Amino acid sequence: MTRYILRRVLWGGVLLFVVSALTFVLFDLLPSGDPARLRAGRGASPQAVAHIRHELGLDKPIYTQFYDYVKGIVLHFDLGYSYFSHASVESLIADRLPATVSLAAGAILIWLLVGVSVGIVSAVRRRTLLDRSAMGTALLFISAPEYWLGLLALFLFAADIGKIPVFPGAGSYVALSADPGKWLSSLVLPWLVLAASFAAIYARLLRGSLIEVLGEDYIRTARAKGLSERRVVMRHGVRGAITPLITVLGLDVGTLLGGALLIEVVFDIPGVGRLNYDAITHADFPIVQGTILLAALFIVVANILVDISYAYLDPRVRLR
Amino acid sequence: MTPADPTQDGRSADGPGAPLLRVEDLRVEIPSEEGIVHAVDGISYELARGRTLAIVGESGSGKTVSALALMGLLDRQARVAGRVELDGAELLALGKERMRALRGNELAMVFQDPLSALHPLHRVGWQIVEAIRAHRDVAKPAARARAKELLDLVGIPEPGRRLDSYPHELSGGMRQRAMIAIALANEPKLLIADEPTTALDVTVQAQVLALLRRLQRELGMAIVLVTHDLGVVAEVADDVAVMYAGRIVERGSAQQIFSSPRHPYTWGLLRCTPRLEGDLSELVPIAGRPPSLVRRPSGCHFHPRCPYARPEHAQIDPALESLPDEAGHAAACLLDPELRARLWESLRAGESPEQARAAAGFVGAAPVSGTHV
Repeated sequence: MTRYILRRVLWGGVLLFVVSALTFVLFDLLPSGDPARLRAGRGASPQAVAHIRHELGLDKPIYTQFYDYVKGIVLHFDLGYSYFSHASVESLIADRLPATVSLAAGAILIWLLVGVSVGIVSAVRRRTLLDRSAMGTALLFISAPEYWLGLLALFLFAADIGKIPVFPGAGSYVALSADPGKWLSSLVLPWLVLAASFAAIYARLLRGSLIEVLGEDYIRTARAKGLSERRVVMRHGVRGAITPLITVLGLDVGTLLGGALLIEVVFDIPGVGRLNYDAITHADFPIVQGTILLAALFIVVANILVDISYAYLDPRVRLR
Repeated sequence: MTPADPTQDGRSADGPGAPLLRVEDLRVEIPSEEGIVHAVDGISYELARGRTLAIVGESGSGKTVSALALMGLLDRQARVAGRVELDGAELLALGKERMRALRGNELAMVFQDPLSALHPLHRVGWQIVEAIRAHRDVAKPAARARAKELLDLVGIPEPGRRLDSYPHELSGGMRQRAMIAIALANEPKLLIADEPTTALDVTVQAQVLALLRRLQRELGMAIVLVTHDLGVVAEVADDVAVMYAGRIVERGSAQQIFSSPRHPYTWGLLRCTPRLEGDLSELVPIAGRPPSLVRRPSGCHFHPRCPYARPEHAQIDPALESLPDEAGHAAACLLDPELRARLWESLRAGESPEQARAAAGFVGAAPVSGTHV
């Protein structure tokens, strides 16, 4: 088990290296705008641009730039500095991470509660009107683009522009430490919108998996013991059906911690996704590189955690 | 459950001589896309305490469905009719909750494949403890101690350690023993065993059968054993019911069924069972396939496969009739009992059905092809 984890961590490191190399090359190849020229401003003299270029280290060959970058991370955990604000990328990400974590945590809680209960009820009452309407609604939420759902939610419920103004609108995010009440109310809409499609996917996933499990021989054994139907479904059925859900959950959590870009932009939440989005529009390469690396790191870690959790969820799985 | 009071639960005040289990005209119809499947078509039998009844037949003869019907474990859409009396209680008339209270308690079931019948993600001890606590208000440590006793009872070595094993960590035979331990958790009066040895190695089969016999002696329970394997029947059964197309076509003591079977289908089953002293070339499969239970053959349901069928057998539906001079032995066949006795003597001597027909002075046309109702 320990050997297995060690090997996975090592491979994770290799993967992160490849990801950063790829972003480097992509940024160099794609016409993303010249950071030096952007920074120098309109009508700057060629000398001024060249000076900035030298200052940012952009006049060195790309492999030297990459070498310096990797060296900085490995030796000093130094992700570089923003081309514009000169703030360190680590501190910028650290500033933005709480908002992203707040957004992700609340949404995950909501979609697990809703998705799991709807999935169970739909599986137990399969092919009833209740099941069909739940699954129809789920399909709707899966198909709807989340930025559209976000805009719709703002249009309907936001305090400033909404038809039924009940929740604060875009740009109202307040840190938890500053004002817990406002933090909560400002995140209700983003949570619901972000959770909608996930809850729908989880409900459908669990429904399918549970229907399959409820047809297993061991469910008949549970009934033959004279257990209550509730216990048969929860302790025997759901226990057997939950594994695929945990897999997806691990990966979704990893992805979301890297920043829920669309939701953060629509609701103007100062999270990592928003940071990344702004950096892309300004060709602020160190920030883009840093946020992508962070997202990749979360996904790699989530993957490893999912694999380890398998061994606990299913004793038949032995990690090698 | 409190100790059974014979006046409660709609139990009749039958004397001690009354059979433990009485099944009367049990019918199970299951709607399907092709039509209604007549899985069980009016079967009746009785079983006394401490006795074993084997229900024998090919796959699709309705034997497993009839067993699941006793347990109340059929799918919701199955329509069950008739009477099933266990110790005086009419099971089919009980509500869902009352039936649940009996299941795993007064009557319990062991299934064919223990690997799929045990929950793969729960420890064996947990699964037994759960079975105990479903019906008895005992604390977990006490239930665990009882689970250990049960594992010991069914012959699992190191029962204390095995409580913490997962099913996949046990051998096939051990798994079936664990399954039996679950079924015995509340000392049921009736144990239903559905092909309990089919998924096991031959040597392990013998051990599991010996275990069932021993437990029956020690606990005095009645066993309904569903099987297609006449070797298993010979090993453990007191009484035998042969099922074909949802009906009992022959019934009698194990002795009667093996020494003087009186139904052509039973002959077929016996002739396709290998014997040590026999020659493999004597193994004769029964021609044709089991009939569809949606569109069953007219008249005698066995006539399309019967080497001795006469044209009129496609019209007349035989009833299960007692044989004149054998108590408890009955068969549903339209042929004259004397003629059947002669046919079996020839078959037993190793002759083919054709030779037997000739030797018995069989008159009538060659086998008729089937018509359906």
